[in-house]
Amino acid sequence: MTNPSFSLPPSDDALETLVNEVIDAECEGNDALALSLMRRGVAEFPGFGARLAATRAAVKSLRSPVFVPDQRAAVLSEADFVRPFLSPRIRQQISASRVALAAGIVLTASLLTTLQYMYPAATTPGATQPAAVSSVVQASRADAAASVRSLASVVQDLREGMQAPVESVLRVGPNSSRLAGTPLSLGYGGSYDADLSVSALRNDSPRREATAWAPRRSREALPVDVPTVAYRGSDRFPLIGDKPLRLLGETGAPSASVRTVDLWDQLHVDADGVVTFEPSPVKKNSGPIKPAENK
Amino acid sequence: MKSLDQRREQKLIRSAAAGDREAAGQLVSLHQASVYAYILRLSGRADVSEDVVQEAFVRVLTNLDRFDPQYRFSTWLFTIARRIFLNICEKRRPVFDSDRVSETGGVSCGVNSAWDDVEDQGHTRDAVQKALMHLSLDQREVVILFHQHDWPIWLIAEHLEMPEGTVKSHLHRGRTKLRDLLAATAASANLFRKEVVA
Repeated sequence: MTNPSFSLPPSDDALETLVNEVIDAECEGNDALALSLMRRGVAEFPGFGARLAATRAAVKSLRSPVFVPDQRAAVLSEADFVRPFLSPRIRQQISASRVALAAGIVLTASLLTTLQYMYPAATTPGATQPAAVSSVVQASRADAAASVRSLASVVQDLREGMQAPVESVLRVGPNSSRLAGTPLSLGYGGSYDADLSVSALRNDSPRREATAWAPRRSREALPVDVPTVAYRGSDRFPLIGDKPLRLLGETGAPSASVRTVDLWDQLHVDADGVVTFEPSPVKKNSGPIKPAENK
Repeated sequence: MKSLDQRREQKLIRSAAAGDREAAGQLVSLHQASVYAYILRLSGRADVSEDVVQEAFVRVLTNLDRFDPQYRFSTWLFTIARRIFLNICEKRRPVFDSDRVSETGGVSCGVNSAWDDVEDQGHTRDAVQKALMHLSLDQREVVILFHQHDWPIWLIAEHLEMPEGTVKSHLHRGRTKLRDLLAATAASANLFRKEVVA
């Protein structure tokens, strides 16, 4: 059977295709197409009839009856073991329970609808105590303000946690000093705007350098009033947290002239990381600023 | 619109899903012949067919609540039966180890071993079955479903998860091969008969 030798003529692809088309048309019930294909096959291929008949016979043999054992009892017993069948009485009870449940739901819904229609004030939740819209808005605002305060306190806590006291002072000095509103001139005893800066090494990790300086708009001549709060980080973080840099100096007379001093030696850092500027006492009216010293 | 048989079948399915033993029994009676013939033609083994059919029905009856009524029940049943059969084929695939050859006496989806099983164990010795076992599994399935169960091409394609063109190709090749094999068998039988008469 592995190497069949039979009496049919040699296979031809076109012939086989036509035979298959005829069989397909017959199986689909398209007799007209099957008939036309058969006519064409008979006309074109000499062995068409024999091959078609053999194919039909082969296909027909598949429809031969097969003895089928009745497995109903075995199937039902095994299915019953896996998922037990229910007796008619229990099934009726389940059906009745379902119907009763559905009816109860419908009745409850109907009752609620009727009550709502008849007594809308009594059945609407929250309808008995109307509240003005404005008070609701105020309550919302109060809640919002409380939320913002709460958030701000958390942020403040976080910022406090990021304090980094100054480890050492790197440099100091007025970067520039100019006369308020007027050009700097020799011998002028009026007020000056000062730009006093202090650079320090922060004590956090990674260690970084930060700079603080006196407010430009202080309108105070150096030496500044005691104490002057003056700090602003050159980076995002405060130089010494919430403890401001204090620039301490002598109180100068309104007509006092600014004298440059060696600021570097007069800076001190205490245990809290506060930078203190304590210049040595300066003689009043000790002399005008020299232009060369003020660059 | 659903036919009367389909409506009756749907009613049986609903009843069986609700736990009705009688309805489940009727479902088994309605479909066991077709699914048994399908698996018998596929496997060539009556004992395998019985096992597969029983397992398939048990799975179907215990999962009836998952059945989608928009599909045909028989298609669902055939799909489950086919999967069980393929699982058996996978488990009993011959192991090419000389020590274990004697242990693998079961069904295989391959042609030769299945054919040997048929011959050796004496199950379903008819010529059609022998010829069928020489087709590839795909060809066998398509030919059986199309010619034995009258399934349309689109449904076979859906069932076997392959394109309709591929199904037609398998059908034509399988049909031609089946015819040639049966013709060869008939020719051999005639030759044998002539020799006996002479």
